[in-house]
Amino acid sequence: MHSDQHKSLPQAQALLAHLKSINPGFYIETIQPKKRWPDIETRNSPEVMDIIRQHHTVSKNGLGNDIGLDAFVHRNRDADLWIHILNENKNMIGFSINEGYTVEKKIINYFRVTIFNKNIQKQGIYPLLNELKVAILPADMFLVRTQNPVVYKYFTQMCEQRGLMVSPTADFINPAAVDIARCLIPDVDAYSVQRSMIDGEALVGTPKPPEEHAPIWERMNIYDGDVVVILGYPELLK
Amino acid sequence: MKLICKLTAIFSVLVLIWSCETPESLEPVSGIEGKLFIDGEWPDSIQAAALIVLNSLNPNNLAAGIVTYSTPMLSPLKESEYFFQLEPGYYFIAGVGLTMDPVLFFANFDSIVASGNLPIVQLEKSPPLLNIIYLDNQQVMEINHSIQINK
Repeated sequence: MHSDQHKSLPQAQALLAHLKSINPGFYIETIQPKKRWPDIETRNSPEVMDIIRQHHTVSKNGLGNDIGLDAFVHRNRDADLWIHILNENKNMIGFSINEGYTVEKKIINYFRVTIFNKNIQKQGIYPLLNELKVAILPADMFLVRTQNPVVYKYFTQMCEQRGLMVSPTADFINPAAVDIARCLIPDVDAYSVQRSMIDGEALVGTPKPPEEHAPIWERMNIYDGDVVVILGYPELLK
Repeated sequence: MKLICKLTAIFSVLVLIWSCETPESLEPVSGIEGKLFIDGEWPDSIQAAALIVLNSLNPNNLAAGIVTYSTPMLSPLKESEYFFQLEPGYYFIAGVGLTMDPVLFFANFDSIVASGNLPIVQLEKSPPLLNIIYLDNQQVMEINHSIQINK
């Protein structure tokens, strides 16, 4: 599917309509990097590096924190999908990176990164963007890692709407889900937490979790860089 | 007539013999076996230690996911053997301590479980590092497990 075809998807139309209700000049672009640049892993493309620099710029604004350009070079190494939100001046103001994997004959859509500039945060974009990621890269399971309770809320909502189970929850961790997560992130522990993944808190002023999700956050220390790894999986996962 | 009766009797016996099922093998089961070691000094509050197998983990309520448990090792022993027969699938394994007399615990197991107030404490030094295993059909896995008691 080409980028133009993505734009005709109902999920893309819904996201675009929402963005335009915020600012009529906003629009989206979708790129499948490995399809557009088949030799992306072996060739240093100035065009690709320019996009990664824009990811880095958005991250500094959105997180209020500079986690370094290298972090985005690393997170783009296996990217299968970029979705960019652009403003009326064609400047990137939000983006997401997704990767597709096959583990034990199941396709996993790994939600690698999603960051918005401060001025478009908390405006209902995230759940609509998730729907588009899933429409472009359909999968049996979805994976994300985060320190942000808002991500947990909307990611689990998206999974549950598709009849998927989620691990971890406040009172349940599925060993099969942890085992699958370890195929992509080997050092995930039994609590489904990756310890010291980043240098402290990624988002300055991470929101507090709601009471019903608080036990998940009590199992990690985001100020030490811990992240929770969340998997949405079919009930009959064996 | 006698011949017919004899043939019928012989035929019936043969049918009976053929219909008896002959076991072909002792079919192996799935499970884990090995040794359980205590590394450190037994706390005074713990009367026995055991391995438990969980099909899900609730760090605040281990009882919720318990599938089975090993024969308790009594204080002050440092080593024992165990075997669990399990269905194929994924499991957590954790070392736990019993804070009451194991004889009384197992005698009243059902009522204690029903109360939801298990006299069990997690003994692992790093609970997030609990073992996760996957058992295939008819696979018996050998795992030697050390419980490192918090000092």
